[in-house]
Amino acid sequence: MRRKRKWIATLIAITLFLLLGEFLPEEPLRSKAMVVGFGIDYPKDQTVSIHLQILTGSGNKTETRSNTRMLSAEGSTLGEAAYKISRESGLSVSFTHCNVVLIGESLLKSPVLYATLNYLVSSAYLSDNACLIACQGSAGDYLSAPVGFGENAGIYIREIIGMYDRFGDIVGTTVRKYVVDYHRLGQTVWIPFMTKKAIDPIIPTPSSDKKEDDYLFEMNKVAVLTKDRFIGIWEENGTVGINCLLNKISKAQFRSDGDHGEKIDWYVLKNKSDLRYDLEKKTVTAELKLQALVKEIIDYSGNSAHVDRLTVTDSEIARLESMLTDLITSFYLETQSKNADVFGFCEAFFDRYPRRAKDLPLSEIKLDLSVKVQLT
Amino acid sequence: MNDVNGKQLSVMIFFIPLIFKMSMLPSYLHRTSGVDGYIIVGLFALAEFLQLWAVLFVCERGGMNGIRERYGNVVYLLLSCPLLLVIGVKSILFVTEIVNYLTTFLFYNVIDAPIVLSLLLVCFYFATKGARSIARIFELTLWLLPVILLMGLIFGETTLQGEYLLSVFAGGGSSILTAIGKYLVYTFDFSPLLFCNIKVKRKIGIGIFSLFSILVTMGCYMLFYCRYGRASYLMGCAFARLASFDTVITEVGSLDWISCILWVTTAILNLSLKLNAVAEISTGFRLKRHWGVGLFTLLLAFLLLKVWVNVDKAFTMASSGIQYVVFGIEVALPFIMIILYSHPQKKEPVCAVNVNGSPR
Amino acid sequence: MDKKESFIAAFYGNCDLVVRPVSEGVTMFYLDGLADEKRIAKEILAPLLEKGTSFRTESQLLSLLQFAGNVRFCKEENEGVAAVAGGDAALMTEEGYFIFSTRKSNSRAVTEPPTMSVIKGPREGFVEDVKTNMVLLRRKIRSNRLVFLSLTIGRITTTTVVIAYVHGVTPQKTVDEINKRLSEIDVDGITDSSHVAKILEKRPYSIFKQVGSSEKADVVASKLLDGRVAILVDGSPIVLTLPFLLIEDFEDMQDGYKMASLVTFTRLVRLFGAFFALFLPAAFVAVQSHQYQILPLQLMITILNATGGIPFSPTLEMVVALLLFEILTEASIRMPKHVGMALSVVGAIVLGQTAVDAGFLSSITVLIVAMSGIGVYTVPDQAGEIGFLRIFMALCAGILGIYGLLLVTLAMLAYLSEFSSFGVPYLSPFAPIEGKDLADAVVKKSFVDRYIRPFSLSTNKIRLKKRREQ
Repeated sequence: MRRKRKWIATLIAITLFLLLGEFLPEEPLRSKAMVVGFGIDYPKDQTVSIHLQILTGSGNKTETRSNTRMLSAEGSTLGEAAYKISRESGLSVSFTHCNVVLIGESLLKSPVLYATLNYLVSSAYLSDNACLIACQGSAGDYLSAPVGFGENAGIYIREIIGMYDRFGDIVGTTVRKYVVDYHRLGQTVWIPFMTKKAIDPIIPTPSSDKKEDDYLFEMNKVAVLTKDRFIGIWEENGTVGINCLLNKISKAQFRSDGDHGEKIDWYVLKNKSDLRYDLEKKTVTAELKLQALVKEIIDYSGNSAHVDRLTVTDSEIARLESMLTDLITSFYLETQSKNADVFGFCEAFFDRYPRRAKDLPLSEIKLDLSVKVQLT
Repeated sequence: MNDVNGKQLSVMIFFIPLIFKMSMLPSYLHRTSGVDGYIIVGLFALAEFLQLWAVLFVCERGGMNGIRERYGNVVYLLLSCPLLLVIGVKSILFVTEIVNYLTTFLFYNVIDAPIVLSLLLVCFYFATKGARSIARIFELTLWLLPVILLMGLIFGETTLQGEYLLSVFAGGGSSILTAIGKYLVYTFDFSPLLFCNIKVKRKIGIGIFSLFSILVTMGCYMLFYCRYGRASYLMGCAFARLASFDTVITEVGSLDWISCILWVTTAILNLSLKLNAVAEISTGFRLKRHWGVGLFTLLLAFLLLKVWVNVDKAFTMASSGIQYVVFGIEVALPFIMIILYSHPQKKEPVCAVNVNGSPR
Repeated sequence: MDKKESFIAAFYGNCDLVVRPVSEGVTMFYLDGLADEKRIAKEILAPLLEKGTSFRTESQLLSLLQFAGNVRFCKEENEGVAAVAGGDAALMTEEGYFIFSTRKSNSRAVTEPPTMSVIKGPREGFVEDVKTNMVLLRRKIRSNRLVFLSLTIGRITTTTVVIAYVHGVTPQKTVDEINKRLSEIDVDGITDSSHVAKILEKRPYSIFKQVGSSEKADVVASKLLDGRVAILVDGSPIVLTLPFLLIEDFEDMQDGYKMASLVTFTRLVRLFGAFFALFLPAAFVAVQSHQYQILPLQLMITILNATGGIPFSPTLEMVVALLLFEILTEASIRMPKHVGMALSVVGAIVLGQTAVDAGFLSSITVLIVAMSGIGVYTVPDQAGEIGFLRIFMALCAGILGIYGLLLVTLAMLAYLSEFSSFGVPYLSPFAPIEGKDLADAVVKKSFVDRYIRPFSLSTNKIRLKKRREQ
């Protein structure tokens, strides 16, 4: 009798469990519009335009590459626009594999950037680690652009960020980093800024027709924003400042002038910055230590004596140090003049002196930077 | 059925205080107390372990069953029935947290009913199996920890803002009172152990694990706050956020499923331990264990599907005045039992502890 | 009806009952073929015919029969009948029945068992004769501490069941409990040790194996030395061992003969094999149906390409594939050997490839099922359980994804954690954690470092006294 009851209970439990499937219908992968690139523009007031780069199967069972398709829609919210795309395509949009969020110039310069991104930030639809990049013009143009390398624009951008984020002059950031920086005391964020340039699609042969241009993306600029305000776009000084002072990179490449006007190319192997905060003097003392080697020397005057050498002089090292100091300091001063705390100094002072430094204005904080280059 | 040995207890006291403090509480605490949250949660955990020692003291003398043997069923029911309220309130809060976790990270845009029902079904099954089975699954779960650490070491590339932790008690410590006023319901989770037959050979081990648990809880909060800084208050489901490998999706996928499994498993076990206490209480009403816990689970399912349908509603209920009642019961109960045990025995007690040697 | 006719009537006119009158009132009974006729003629009948039948007691009889072996006396007719039915010869006199052990050994030769062939190690396998099996064990453990207790089970079959254990190593309460459980059985008959196993299982409808078994004497001997009890059943070459733990099936009989570090590796391989066999199909269904966010992008593209155009839902596709695999396995086991081999080749290559080409199954599903199928046979003794569970898990994963898979796994673990085999937890040494046994569960300790016996099994823990430092 007891065993019979046990069997009945087990059967009921299993039936109940199987019935739960009615509430959670299967959504096979092939019914999903898997987004790999996500662009957002702000074409007119209270309307956002989204551009989704969607993976579609290649139709070839043995293929490991895929086809992508661009779909765009407008709406007053991102969700509304995404729903339109779902309805039109018959596929349910999924952002789980989207690792690139591209912000068009119109949205970047509008005061609603954070409000727009908040949907992505607070939900878990999108990975915390999705790269955030701003671009010149429309985000849709970039995502739909034929790229010279990689399968599509989304994957191409991700490959560049993945490979060069810790190297050189790309200041990669993620959705998470953007949100964290936005909530700091200074509420200043920076986002890499991308431009594109056309290249020939393939080396033309006599028989081939001339095709449309392919594009390459350049990401060596940085856009700075405070709470609801676009501050500006910086080139080398911005990227070098952020990368070196915030320890974002491990490797980099710089160029400076030699004693006789020759061009010296430096390869940085290690970058370490040490920041000290003095509340009395309202000064941030930054010590930037670089370990570098000389990679290349070219003398355009044609004097081989300036090239045929094994090492560089102290003055050449000092020139590099001075160049970097000037670059970073100028970036700091420019952003400071616009009240953009790009290095998070206000937050750092508050963290160390929570009671006394709460209302310390950025305009009073001085940056005392020294750069030391050690040759290997 | 409810025998728990020292090793199992050590594993349980490592997980029990940690699990539900690593879901919504970090963001809640950050909202009210800012970065002080990691110190406050340490204090919460410390207080919780003081309760544990009282609970252990009682368990060594026979626990709730011992009270029944000494003073009869009426006293047993008088003492244990208030725990039904405690378990009810906490279960509602914790189930909604588990469901919130699952619908945030594992399922998108689904209704809660199948998640709630399947969860309660499994918790019911665990509860009918007793604390010994639950403790054994806790032991098996422990093996996931090295796997997570290994995966983290291989794939993890997280960047942390350590200096953010420096500005503790900028407001002079008043945040502690605010936090106590709001989040007391998240502490004192050891009462269900009163129904277990616990045999501890070396108390030093329990002490070490208690300390370890406090440090790990604080450490998790520190990592979480370092990672999200002032935006921490926006981020629910802390454990899942913390556990992600911070690496690009092309390598391992966006969901850190091993950590998800660990959290969900331990959360289910924690909840099951509470339901096991309900099963024991129901024996005082001359009900069979599975009937008692079955009725309670059905009631819980009804309340979760009809009344407290999401984590916000559940939190509002649990952090209202009822939390002081819950807190009072949790603190008072072990001490009342200590007093009862300190009275001379009227009749020979049948001590449930260790009657058949060391429990396994 | 006189005594002789009554005895003959007790066999209901059996044609193989031999009735051999010796003298007035003295008759020999035995069953043709079962008893050794030559021995009876030479050792019993010939001396009796020569020296007469003037004996009254066993000692008097034995003084007449110099070469006859074991003789016992009983008064009751039913005892004599039972002895004759069991293969003995009964000499009926006016006083009672003298029973001679004359059972003919028709056992096959001791050979390597087909299910447990080894590359290195002893090749002696048990046979159907319980006495031969006892001798095989005795030859491995030449000690008075190896104890055999004999029972007879089956009202009709009267099968001999022998409980073997090492005194002082195996906990006495385990022996007593097994003895008690077997003695309480009142069944008409058992024909194989698996029937005894069913008697000893606490949950007869469970899909999980609860009694260990082996066909090799060395394996059973080492299990006896670990503190287990062996049960030998007459007529069965499979010897049962108890208590049984789940981890036992992940151990191989040859583990003890190989290098410890290599065995550790192969045990890990077996664990991973079983893990993948159980969870891979379900996980694949879960990630396709619900939790696709787990998949790395490149893998997702591959799956997307491979599953395009498949007419079934992921769950149905997987369940169909797994059922096909089970059908193939079952068919290849039951088919005659050579046909079975051909069938499995046809099944694996032709059927799989055609199913993919026809767009019936995706190539990844076939791959997953094949990988899982291979994984199943890393632990062949658990193949049935894993085969069943992986289909059930695939169904649950289709319903609730990874979450469903987790719930079912937890429920299964809760079920198993409650299991105990004669007081020893089924999941030991993992749950409860037995630190000392853990070291020899996944990690294989070298023979010379196994100082203690399995902690959860034996009473006398010391296995190896500390070896002298080299």
